[in-house]
Amino acid sequence: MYVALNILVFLKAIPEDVKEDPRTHGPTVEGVKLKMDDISRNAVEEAIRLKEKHGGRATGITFGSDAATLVMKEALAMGLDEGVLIKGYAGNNPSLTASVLAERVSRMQWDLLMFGFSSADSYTAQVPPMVSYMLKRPLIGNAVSLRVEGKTVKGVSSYEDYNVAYEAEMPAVISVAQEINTPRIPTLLQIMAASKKPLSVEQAQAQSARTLQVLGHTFPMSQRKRIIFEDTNKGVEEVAAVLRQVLGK
Amino acid sequence: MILSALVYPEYYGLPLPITAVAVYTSAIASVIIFLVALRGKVKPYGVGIWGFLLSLLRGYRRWPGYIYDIALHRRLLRTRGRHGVGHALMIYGLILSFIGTMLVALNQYLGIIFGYRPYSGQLFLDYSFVMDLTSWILFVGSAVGALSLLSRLKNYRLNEAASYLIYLLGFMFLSVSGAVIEDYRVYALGLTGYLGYFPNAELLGRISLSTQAYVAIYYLHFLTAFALIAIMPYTEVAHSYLNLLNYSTRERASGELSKPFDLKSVMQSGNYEVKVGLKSYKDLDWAGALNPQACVGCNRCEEVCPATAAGRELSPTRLALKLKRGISSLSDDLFQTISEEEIWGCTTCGACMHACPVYVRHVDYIVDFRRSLTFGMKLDSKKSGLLMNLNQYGNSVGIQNQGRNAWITNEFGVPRASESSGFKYLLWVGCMNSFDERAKGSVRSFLELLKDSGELGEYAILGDEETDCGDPARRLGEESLFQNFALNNIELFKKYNVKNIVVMCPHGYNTFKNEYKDIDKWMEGVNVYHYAEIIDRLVKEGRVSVEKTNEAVTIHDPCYLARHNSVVNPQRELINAAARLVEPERHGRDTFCCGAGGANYWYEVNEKSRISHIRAKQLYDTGAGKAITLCPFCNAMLNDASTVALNGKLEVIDIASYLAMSRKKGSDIIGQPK
Ligand code: SF4
Ligand code: SF4
Repeated sequence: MYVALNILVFLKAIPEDVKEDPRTHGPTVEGVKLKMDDISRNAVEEAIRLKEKHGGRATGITFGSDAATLVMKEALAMGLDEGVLIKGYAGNNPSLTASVLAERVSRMQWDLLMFGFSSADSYTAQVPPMVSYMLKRPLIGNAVSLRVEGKTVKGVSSYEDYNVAYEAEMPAVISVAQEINTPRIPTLLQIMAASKKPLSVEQAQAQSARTLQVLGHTFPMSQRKRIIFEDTNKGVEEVAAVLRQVLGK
Repeated sequence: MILSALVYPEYYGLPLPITAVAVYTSAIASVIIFLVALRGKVKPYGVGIWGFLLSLLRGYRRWPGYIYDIALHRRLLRTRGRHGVGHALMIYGLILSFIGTMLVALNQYLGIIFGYRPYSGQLFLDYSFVMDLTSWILFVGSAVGALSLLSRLKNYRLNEAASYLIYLLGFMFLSVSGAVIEDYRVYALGLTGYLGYFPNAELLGRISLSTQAYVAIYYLHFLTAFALIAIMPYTEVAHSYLNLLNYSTRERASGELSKPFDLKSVMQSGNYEVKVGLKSYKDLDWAGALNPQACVGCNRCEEVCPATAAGRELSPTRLALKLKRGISSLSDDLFQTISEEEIWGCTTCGACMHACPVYVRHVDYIVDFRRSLTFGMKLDSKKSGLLMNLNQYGNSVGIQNQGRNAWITNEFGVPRASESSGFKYLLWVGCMNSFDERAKGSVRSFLELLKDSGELGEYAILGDEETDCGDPARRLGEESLFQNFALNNIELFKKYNVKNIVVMCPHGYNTFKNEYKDIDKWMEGVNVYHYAEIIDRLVKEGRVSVEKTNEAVTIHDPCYLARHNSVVNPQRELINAAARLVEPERHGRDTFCCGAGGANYWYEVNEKSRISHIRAKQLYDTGAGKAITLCPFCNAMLNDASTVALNGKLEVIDIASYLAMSRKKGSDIIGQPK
């Protein structure tokens, strides 16, 4: 039997790209457009699919700045019912993000709390387990499939070489893997139309969190040989020759 | 008998006035039944009989073209010629019979009113002779038609096949009964002295026919003719007037897609609830609902379709028939019979539409189906990926847009429009040409030619402001994204007061030329050129001189240049000036797609062989070792195909690069990547 679900899904707006700062020659994301984090997109998609199957509501929550509004609209266009934009995000800080989110949802009714297992900009994968810990609710992490039966959620988590099937009583926290689905892409018109859906904007409640200090950003050291093959006609042979040489064959 | 005393024997040997009354009553009845039936057929789509007829009349400017097409049977003879000949004979037979019948009627009225009977004397004899031939023309045409019908019986349901057959047999009956009636009259009237004008009577000899039998045959003859008119809307022969509707209402160029909404007005009104895409017959306007109902399942479109040739699920013939049946049965879910695989299998090459003798616009429906899939957010990851790239990067290749054309300014000093002090031509480089190493070679060649000609100074580029032209988004069904690109681009064109755009890709060329003016009328004042047209002019003006060699070279015409926009001469003039042109069978407007169009470049479809491999083989089979392309996508597709399927034996070269190599005075090979 399907019971209407109340789903909250966290999504993150991340920079589209990393630019080189002309002054420091280090990486910077200043002035770069924001896009929806890739795995958040999977979480949103899964939330919508569950809602479509079981009925109920799916609400998107993001911790960011005004610039994240467009990203939230995109998620609304995908099919979320409403959005909550919490402002006050000041850079990558998983424990702060987790406590802001945990505090916010502790004031709400929900069955499932969904995340992408890690965001494509910082790759810490820390927020879902932290929130799960703070709320004292079970976590099914890195899920590649999900099913809801009555008051129980069943999920398969993917590890490197094997999968583990879990089940948990709802309310439960879920983080999804990219493999779980192919997200739908709304059209521009649908994103525009999503401005008609409810989107509330609020300020983050001040949270004290033990935080990491970000000391600086650098580009990864490259050990690349930087060989450029220009003639695409001869490309394959040239590449093969170089590879053979490097591999010592 | 004196020649002047010879008059067409109206109602000869028939009971009068009852026969005259019968003929006129059934004539009027047939027209009334026809109109009532027609009204019943078109009503579900929201048009009345007058609306329907008025649309035909309003398209009067297109009639000459239509009459030309029908008179020459151009489209019917180009493919499936044997079947076309049968059809042509049938139509000519019917037209001549119609003229004969009109002569008879005219003769009668002029006789009654003015006592003047023109259908007499020599004219009577001459046209009798024509009518005798007409019997044969109509009979043979119908017989060939019946054979053609049998050869593609699998396309038809029983009732459809039966309805064709009724007409074919009906026509055959009309020719035979007509000959018998004439035979009876010729001998009964003692016209044996003029048998040379009545070859059928001579051939048949005197048939012994009782008066009753003669009367019966006469009645059957005209009743059959009128019945065939009356039932037409209920039968497959409705194509005979629906094709005129299709011709009269087809206002858009074949490369121009419909505009389901106007993004700008939608944004201004704030009402985003617009209907996009096709699923139910109700989503079509009445002319759109009737268009595929003209389809006669003749297979012409399937025979020229690259998707069918590659073994994809799509056959335009089957698609048109499914549309026809789905719409006429008022289906609310056309996807019940039409699959997504079919919809995505199309490259929008337009070969089907150009082959179709009744002017079905397959691509309109295919793209409308895509719109409903895209707006239903039902895209696989490849197609979604294209949309994400277009959204995020503003180009179809998914590479940071910034600095996309910096190399052009660096290497050739072409200024950005924002920094230029005045330019004549805006060079639209295009996504592929901006980023792909091989495609950049063509751009370099073109710029070298411009430099040689001394015209390079008249050019500017958009630089970082250049994004996508919108063609892939539109052909993937994302109409709002297309219009957004168009609005932004037009804004830029206006800002820089652009008067002439030179496009290095036929897709941009087509969309700027045909589609942008529907987004903003301002574009009507902008000239759009394909770069081959520019090179052609430079050569003609003697600003670039080329050396002719005896090298055998073939041309691959891009669908969006040659077929959709009829640009076929510049490339031929250029190649003829530089080499020896060998044409593949499918060339010019009849070209065969490379497989990349309709956004196919960015996604996969199930197929048995690749469209690009089929095309590369066709080009290779001309015996020319080199194939000239006029599009970066064709170039990439065919080059890959040559490498994979032909061991690289077909050399694929862009036209600008070839011309750059053909320049006089020891010019070295430029442009091609080293
Ligand atoms: S447009 Fe080309 S690929 Fe599409 S159905 Fe017509 S012929 Fe086939
Ligand atoms: S769509 Fe046109 S070309 Fe194709 S089968 Fe029908 S009538 Fe023939």
